[in-house]
Order: sequence, then structure tokens, then C-alpha cells
Amino acid sequence: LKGGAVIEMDVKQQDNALIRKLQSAMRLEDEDVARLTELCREAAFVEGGRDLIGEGDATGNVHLVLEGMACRYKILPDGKRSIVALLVPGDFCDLNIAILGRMDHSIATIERSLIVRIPRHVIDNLIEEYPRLTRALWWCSLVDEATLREWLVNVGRRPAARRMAHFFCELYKRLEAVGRLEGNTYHLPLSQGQLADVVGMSGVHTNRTLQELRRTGLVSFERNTVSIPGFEQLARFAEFDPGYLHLGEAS
Amino acid sequence: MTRYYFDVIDGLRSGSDPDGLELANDEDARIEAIKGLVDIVADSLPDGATREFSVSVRTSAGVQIFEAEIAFTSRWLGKD
Repeated sequence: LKGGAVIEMDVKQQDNALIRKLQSAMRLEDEDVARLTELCREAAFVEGGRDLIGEGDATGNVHLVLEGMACRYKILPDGKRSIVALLVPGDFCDLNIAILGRMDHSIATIERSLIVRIPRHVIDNLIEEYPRLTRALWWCSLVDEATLREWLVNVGRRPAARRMAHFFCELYKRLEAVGRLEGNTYHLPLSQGQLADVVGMSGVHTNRTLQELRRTGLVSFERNTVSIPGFEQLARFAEFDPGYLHLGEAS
Repeated sequence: MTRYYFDVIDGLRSGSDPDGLELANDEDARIEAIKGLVDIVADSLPDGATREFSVSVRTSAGVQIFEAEIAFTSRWLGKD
């Protein structure tokens, strides 16, 4: 986060994407919400295309996206990149570093993003003193894993159009959970090359698949905006079942 | 960076690429065309016993600079 001025944020509870996401999935008490709000008080803007943390790093800070978008990625020896997760508002980037010590992949911002940097000792304190928040952090890690499983199936087994449609459906549900949809559209700051790195296809086939989807009228992706006229129709086409995101399970 | 356009024939229909891709040079465009072709073939088969696929690369001036093709044929043996 070099160069990014730290700003004092008084993020209102209902605007805090992390709190929104967690509350859609579980019950939080007032003291938990207060602790999370406190946690997010110091946030800094980071320009797009910057590494927050690199493979092999052991900085001991956990990063949280409050606004904007980031990605988890791996670089192959020939310089090609594979994007293995997109991180949207409310997502922790690297919770596992609080336990594992060293990063086994890199994380970069995709666009200018508001990032909270949480020192490892603060995470340790949460784990020791806030059992419900510990569960919440655990929940975040488990959902990350479930999402990764779904991406593995998606990239490995679904044909191109369905694969891309599935990805658009997932982001729709995740952004909806944190109140970042605008009607039936959302902002997706990926270049065509980055989208190709997400779906694991060549740029040519990525473009062609986008054109095909646009022709069907199910979904379009133009000028960094994804438009989904009928979510249910797209979900049916993509064979998308949002169960793995575990949203809306609060009881 | 230069914008290259990749026109695809997948055996069923041909498509002119309206969007193109920004690439460093002709060699990167050649590689992208071949990778794209292989992706498209993998995604389209096994529909059809015989299909021809091609990708041709066009510059923004409309000049075709490269073309790659794959002709797929298959047949049952011993079935009349």
C-alpha cells in the first residue's frame, strides 16, 4: 500500500460491504458489528494494477476490499497469468496469511480500490476474544474454498458460453449481497485479456463467446458493464446454483 | 500495441470479428490465432463427423496477414 494516503473512514454500517455480506449469512451481535466497523476505520485507496501482496511475501497484514475489485493470481514460468479468484467489496484477500505465514499466490488491485490493511496481531486478537467473529472469518475462508471449487469445475468442465455465463451469474449474486448492483447491471473493470485469464480461454475464443452471449440476449459485457436482462434465464442457461456462495443463510 | 481482428469459420457459420484484440506484434497475433483455433475446435466437437475450422488474422487496415486451419474428419468403421 505504498503511496496510498491513509484516510480516516467512518464507513456507515449499512455501507460496509463486509458487514453486509456477513449479516446476509449469519447473525451478528451489536458488539461484533462495532468491532468490524472499528476494524475498517483506517482504509486507503490503492491504484489499479498494483500488487497488494506477492507470492512468497510474509508481511503479516491481512487485506480487506471495501470498494473496488482485486484478484488472486498466479504467474506461470512463461509469463502467462491465471486469475483464480476475484475479490469484491467485503472480501478478505489473504486471511490465510494470518495462519500460514507466506503467500503461495499474489493479489493485485484491478481498479482503484479502497483497501483495509489489518495487522496480524489484530486478527489474533479477534480470534482470542470474539468467537462469533472467529466463526465469521472461518465462514469467509470456507466460502472462498467453495467458490474456488466451483471455478475449478467451471474452467475444467463447462463449455465456453456456459462457463462465461456462470461467471457472470456468480458475480451478480456476490455483488447483490453487498448492494453493488445497479438495476440489472454491474460494473466489471476487467479488460478482455483479464477476462480470458479468469475463464482460462484464449482471447479469440473469449471475444467470440462474448459475442455469442450478446446475440442470445442473455448477457452482455461492454464498456466494463455487465447487463443481465433476466437473471433467472441466464442462471438456467449457465446451470448456475448459488448454493456454494452460502449467502442468505442467516437464521 | 496493435489491434488485430480474428475472423473465425467454425464449419457451421463464419463470423467477422467486430472487437479485435490489442497485441504487441504479428507474432503474438499468430500465436493468439492458433490458440483460439484450438479452443474453438475443442469447444465445438464432437458435433459433426466432418468439420473445417479456420481463423484468419486481419489488421485494422483490412489486410489479412495470417490464416490457420484445422480439418476434422471422423468415420465409423465396419458400420454400414
